[in-house]
Amino acid sequence: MLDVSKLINTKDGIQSRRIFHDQAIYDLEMERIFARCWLFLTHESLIPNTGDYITTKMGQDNVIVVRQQNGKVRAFVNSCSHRGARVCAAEAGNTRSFVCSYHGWAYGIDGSLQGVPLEKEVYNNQLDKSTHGLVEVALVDNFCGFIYGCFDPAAPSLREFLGEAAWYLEAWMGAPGGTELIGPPSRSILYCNWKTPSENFIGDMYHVGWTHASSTQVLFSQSPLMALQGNASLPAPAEVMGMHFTSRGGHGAAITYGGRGGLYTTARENEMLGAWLAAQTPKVAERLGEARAKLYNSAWDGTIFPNNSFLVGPNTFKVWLPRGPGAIEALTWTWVEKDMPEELKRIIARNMNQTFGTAGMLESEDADNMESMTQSNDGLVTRRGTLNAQMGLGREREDAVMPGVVSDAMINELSHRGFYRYYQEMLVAESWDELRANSSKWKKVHLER
Amino acid sequence: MTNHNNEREVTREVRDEIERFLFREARLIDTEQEREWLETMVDAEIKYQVFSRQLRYRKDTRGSGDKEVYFFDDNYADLDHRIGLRETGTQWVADPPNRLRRIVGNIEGFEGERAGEYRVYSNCMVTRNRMVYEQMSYAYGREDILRRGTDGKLRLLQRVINFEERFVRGKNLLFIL
Repeated sequence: MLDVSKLINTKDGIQSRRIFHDQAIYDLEMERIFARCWLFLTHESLIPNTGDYITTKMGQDNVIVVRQQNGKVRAFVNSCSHRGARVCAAEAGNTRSFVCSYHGWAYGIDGSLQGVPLEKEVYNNQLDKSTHGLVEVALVDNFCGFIYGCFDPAAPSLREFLGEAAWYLEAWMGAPGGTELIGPPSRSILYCNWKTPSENFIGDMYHVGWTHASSTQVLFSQSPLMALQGNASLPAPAEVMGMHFTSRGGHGAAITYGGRGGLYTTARENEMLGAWLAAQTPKVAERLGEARAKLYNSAWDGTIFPNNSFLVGPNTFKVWLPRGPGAIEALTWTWVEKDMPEELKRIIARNMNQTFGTAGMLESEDADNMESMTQSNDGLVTRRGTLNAQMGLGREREDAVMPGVVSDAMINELSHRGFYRYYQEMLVAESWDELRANSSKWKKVHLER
Repeated sequence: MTNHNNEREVTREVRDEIERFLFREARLIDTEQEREWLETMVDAEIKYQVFSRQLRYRKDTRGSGDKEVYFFDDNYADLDHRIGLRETGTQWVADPPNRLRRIVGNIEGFEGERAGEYRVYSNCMVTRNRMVYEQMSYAYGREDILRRGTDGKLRLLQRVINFEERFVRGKNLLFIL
């Protein structure tokens, strides 16, 4: 029997390997995590006008996200209520209706069934169109313009779901002039479990110097991250270099102080970004305070639970769409600040795609690890074992300014432990009330030794 | 894609030269001699682009935002960096070595806009074998501009590839296309 409460030991930083393999666990993840959590859909900037839409997935459910007449964004399951065929085959566009390619049933952008060919003749006018609209995604909301959806009407608000992570995310998502995504995304397959890239991005700075030894050497010669090259030594104590945080909802990040700039190969590009950051920093400090102005200038790798990852510095924004226990579709955008000069936006996008896009030099280095981390557990004896995320155990603390649980070292696995703590809670809990009951004591699991 | 009806085809002699160029290029890239390729066959002003176009309905021209994402948008220095990764000796994804094998066909050559430039179309099928189990295949069309240098030799000045596989099943495109 599957006892999901035994898969994760947060206190000791141990995870069962079965979570990367078992179909039964994957099925439970779809039910308890992907059908209940807020999941990334798109960005306000990609669907600015009435009738603008994109198609994507929530878990393995196909959805359409569309801007309404009243300016609000709604999302619907992309499947005809008649016989189930999709009603939109395009990835994006602008439309007044979605028409099923099977028999021509037509839906408005509000999801209502508007037209049924030969309705009078073949249904004798007895089809109740009002009960045959597209299934609607229960909740859609945005945080700083990033739009998320949730299938569960009982779920907490997006703001509550983000919890303490919202304070951190505002440091870059809430840039003074706002942020936007440059689309369309690139799309590619990786043969890994959806959690391996989520945990890699949530805070693994340990791999940067080793997995990316060649690219840090060749590409990052003007960055503080260059010092990590080869994992031979640290140029400064890890706590001087940055920090880790985890939050109630499993979201987390590793933050390298002062690391946002200097990641480009040409001095001119680095100077341009550097000048931009210098000009914005006082505005960030005024709006959000000095602590977050420091974070604004830092390099980050982070994950918003469960499958939405980002980098600040390379400015990658990703979602890992599950395709079974052993495969994902990776969608990748570039994020920029809206009021940046057009030339700087293009520089950021070009560099992002060169490093973390489909032909990205760092992306493909990560992919081999993510795949072998997943596939090794196809072995029965191998997956009887456990995995270790103990780095930084005992160094967790609370902070007067920074919310959640933090640790003064950016090479750390605190955010991994927080991710899997919440992962297990979601699998175990049958209701949000059950999850809320843990909210008063979640920090203790990390803090008490 | 341009309509070539009004374009002037190159002479048979130049056509042969272009074909030899593309075949030599394929051999150098497929045998880990990209440095030799860069230094002897690529123009210093190279523009090397591979893009993917989002799928939209034919009649839909109103949607917002960019329609393309550029996997490659490289100049000479960028290509130099890509090739430089393996030369560090610590590019683990290339060790054990990847093996590439490509077939270049449907080659057409036309006189370019400027003297000494040729507009060249070709199709490519590439298979990449890597690690023990991985085999990936890619098919794409290339639109190149070759330029004759002062030394009389052809060099690649521009390559634009509309990569038509929207969802890349071959995981990544970390090779010279």
